[in-house]
Amino acid sequence: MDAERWTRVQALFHAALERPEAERPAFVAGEAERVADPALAADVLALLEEDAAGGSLLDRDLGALARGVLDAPRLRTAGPYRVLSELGRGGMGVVYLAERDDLGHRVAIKVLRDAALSAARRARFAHEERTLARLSHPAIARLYGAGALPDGTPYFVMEHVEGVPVTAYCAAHGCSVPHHPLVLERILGRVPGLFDGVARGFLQPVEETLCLGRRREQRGAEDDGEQGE
Amino acid sequence: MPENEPALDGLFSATYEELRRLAASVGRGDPSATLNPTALVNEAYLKLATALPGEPASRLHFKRIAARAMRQVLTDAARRRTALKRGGDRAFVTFDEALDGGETRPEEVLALDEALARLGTLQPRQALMVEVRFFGGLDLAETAALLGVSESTVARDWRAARAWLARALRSPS
Repeated sequence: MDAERWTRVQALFHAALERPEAERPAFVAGEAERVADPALAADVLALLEEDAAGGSLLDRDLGALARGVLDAPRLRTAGPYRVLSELGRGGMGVVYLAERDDLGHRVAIKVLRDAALSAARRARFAHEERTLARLSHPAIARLYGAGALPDGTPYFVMEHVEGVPVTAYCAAHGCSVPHHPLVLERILGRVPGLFDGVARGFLQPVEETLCLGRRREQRGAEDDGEQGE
Repeated sequence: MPENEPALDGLFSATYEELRRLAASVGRGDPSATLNPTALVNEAYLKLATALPGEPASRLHFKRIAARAMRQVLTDAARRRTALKRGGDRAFVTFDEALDGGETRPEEVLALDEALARLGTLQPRQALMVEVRFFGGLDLAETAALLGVSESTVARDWRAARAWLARALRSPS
């Protein structure tokens, strides 16, 4: 079908719609015969049939359509790790608790959500991974490794720290993460140089994936002692 | 067309990311919650209108871009899902395929995208109309204002386009 034909088909379609339903087939056939174009009748009758029928994709709720494509399938394994449960999720990634059967240790694995959607997302994820790789500090979950799922979705493996999310900690203690200078100092103050450039991009992963827990508190206190802060 | 203006590339990308994020958060918050395109687009507009540098796009103009972004978000997600299912290294796929409980199959979304592209070659205005109404949630009056036609023309065009698309989706060619 070309544009000119589509215009003709539509004209006859609308003209037929102005007539009572029972008269439409005969009307369409007659008009097509008048212009010696039997295919026109077939096209228009098919459209009229669709018009009367419900259940077009366009009649569906966009939400139903979105759920069909956006719901992420559940992850079972990532490389040598067996996924045990989901720890949390943010706009960028989902963090899973996973275990390595041969070594028996538990880790946190962050998987990029919808990696295929844009190169910018993959780049941001890789940047976060590189940033984490550069940082070696007791107050930051260590990066153990990285890999990709069979479909190419990147993930990285981190130290798993028991505790509560810093956001929950703040809610319980009546402070807000971005605005409370003491909280920022507590997280970032332990890491010299983190404020320079890295902090802005890093605070989000901190909120998403890292924990400010008892173990962290204890280890942090020990470090304070060692470093003579 | 707006998408040819480089200044709007950034707006499209930002909208795309924001809608993707919003759509995903709606999807997992409450399985029965409907993803209302109008609400999503409005939310994205409120967030981006203040955050984006430069001349703020008009609300209608933004919605037109947001509708395109929404179509792209869903089509890309559908493409990824179908690619995942057909993966050559199927034996190693670790996602649980049994949990494919979506109400609309990804293949249908891809077929709609392709059919809309074909409609665009027949009548660009009609394809744009379907895009802004279905993916952007624009109402009759907004669609008429955006396209510069009367509401009755929009209603007529919609009816024909709906029938044409339903047929195209039934017998993909």
